Amino acid sequence: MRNAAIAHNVGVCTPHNAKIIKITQLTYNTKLFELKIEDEHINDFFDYMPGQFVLLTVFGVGEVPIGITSSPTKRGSFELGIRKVGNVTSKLHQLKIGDVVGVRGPFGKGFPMEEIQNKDLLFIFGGTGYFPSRSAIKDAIDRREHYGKIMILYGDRCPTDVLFPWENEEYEKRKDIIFHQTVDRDDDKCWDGNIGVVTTLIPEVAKEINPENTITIVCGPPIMYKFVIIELEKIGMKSENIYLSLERRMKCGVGKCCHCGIGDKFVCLDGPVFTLDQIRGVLEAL
Amino acid sequence: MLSKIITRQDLPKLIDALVKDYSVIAPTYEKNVPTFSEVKNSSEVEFSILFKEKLPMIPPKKIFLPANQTVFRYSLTEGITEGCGDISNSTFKKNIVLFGISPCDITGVGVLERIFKDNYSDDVFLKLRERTTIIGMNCLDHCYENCFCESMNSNDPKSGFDIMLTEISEQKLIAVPNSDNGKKILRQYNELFQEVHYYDINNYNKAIETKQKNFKREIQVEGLASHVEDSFESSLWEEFTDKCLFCGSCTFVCPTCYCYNVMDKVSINLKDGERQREWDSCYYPEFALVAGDHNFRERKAQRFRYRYLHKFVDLPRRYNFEGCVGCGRCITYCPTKIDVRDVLKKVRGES
Repeated sequence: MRNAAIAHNVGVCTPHNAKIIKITQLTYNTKLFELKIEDEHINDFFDYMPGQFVLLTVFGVGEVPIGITSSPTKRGSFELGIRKVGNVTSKLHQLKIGDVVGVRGPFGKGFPMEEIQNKDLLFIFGGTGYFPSRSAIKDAIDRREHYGKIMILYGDRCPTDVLFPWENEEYEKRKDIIFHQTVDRDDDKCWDGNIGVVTTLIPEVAKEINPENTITIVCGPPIMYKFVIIELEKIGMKSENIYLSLERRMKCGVGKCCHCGIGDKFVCLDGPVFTLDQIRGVLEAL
Repeated sequence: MLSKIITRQDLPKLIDALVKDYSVIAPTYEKNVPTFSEVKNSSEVEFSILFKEKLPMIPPKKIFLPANQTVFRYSLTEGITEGCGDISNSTFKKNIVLFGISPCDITGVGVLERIFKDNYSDDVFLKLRERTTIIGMNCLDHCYENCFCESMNSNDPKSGFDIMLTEISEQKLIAVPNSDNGKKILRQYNELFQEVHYYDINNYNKAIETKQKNFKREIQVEGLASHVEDSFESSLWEEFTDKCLFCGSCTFVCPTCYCYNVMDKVSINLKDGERQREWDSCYYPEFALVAGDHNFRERKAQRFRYRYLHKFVDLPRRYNFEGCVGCGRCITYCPTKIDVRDVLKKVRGES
């Protein structure tokens, strides 16, 4: 676990100023923002695990929790993939390169990339669940020799929503990665790949999966978890090897404001990444 | 002995002496509401509240976690201009004396202090707490019918205060210091205090004996966590949600409810603004709402039981204390008379 980079003169409640240094339009409503913290000293300390999140402030509008999208192997700046859905993210989408936003974090427990070395990795994600997963995928690929097979299953709503198509193409080409993607529906008939929800891809890789030696990382909307878990258990995956990243409303990120409470846990402190084992009995978790 | 005696008629003099050196927070009436607020002199202090004729509606958490508070200031284009450390120092100019709070409220402040210190410490809260000296006012009996502090082990705190005042006779109170800050106050205003005599000690011991006799346990807290968990899917929650208006009153008057919402306020020049935080309530429908309109606790019963889950399962497991001090404010100020004791007894299968 990496701890939040805090400047002690301002405290954990105050964000660091960060500059937007690059904006990439991903889809009609999704952008990838590359940020750099203005204070060089803090920027050097800004170290994170895939799966951790930051609280992003758009000054004058508010603050939202966003999973980090870039790999920790990338130093000096970091990326956040953001879909335009609420007040803060809508305003953020109007900002330009050079504009200042606020960043607090990184917070929470991420995917335990060190603990799961030498294991096969199975990524299953849907929609904006791609963003935090991408951090783990890139980290694993950058340190490829430390991991066994890398299997990636990605589902999205429709062809226009598909994220990072150029990276997906690269994964498809690589011999040391198994990559499958699907869309839920293709109303405009412009998709020549799989059609169906992401769970339909699991049987395609089932023969590649050795449940004893595979770690599954799942990230997506709440409804997706329910069905993915059923499929994974069918192929004999143990609950302690299934990692899920949960989404909740958050206002503080440090276990004070209580918005992200589930049962006897806080998603911001004890998560957002949990093993299925940890949260199966937790009330209101899934 | 380091303890001192003060007479009832000298208490106003003590307040008047304290206000010269400290920002004094004491029981008052604000817009006809019994509460705590900063006083300029002893005439503003409501001594009837002090002597347990009434429990202040708003608990002392309002000093450290005000209902609405600025966390930092910023410019829309340049970012942060003033961090939270600087701001929390400007609320009160002098160090703070929190005067005349009950043992249950002392326990409540202790609960919040632990939570705000743990994991990532909250500077705004802790800077105010560090500058505060607490002078407690002991309870010798249940202060009113809704009080159940004995059940929550909160009427005899061992720490979290600097001086405890206990009535030992009609006219006399004994001031027992519990910290260096407390001793400092007794020394600083030495002329208002008298030495303790052997008969005062006898009276003090008698008072403490009476206290121990008077308080009766109403609810078993041992094993409550697993009872709450076991009854999670039970229909008993629905019974209460039919009555509950989800107004949030119980959460605002609770000394250990601390959840907050943050919002950005932009000033009229549209150039700068401030981040504020304000009390929130887990009973409100949007409490667990996320972007895309997914609500993780959409049903009323889910929201109702979450408060119990947090107070009686999460906090005991994390910190080994309940998120309840048994002050009974939530019972007093509930517009539909929902009684937390009834809920807990039902959960335990006792009624």
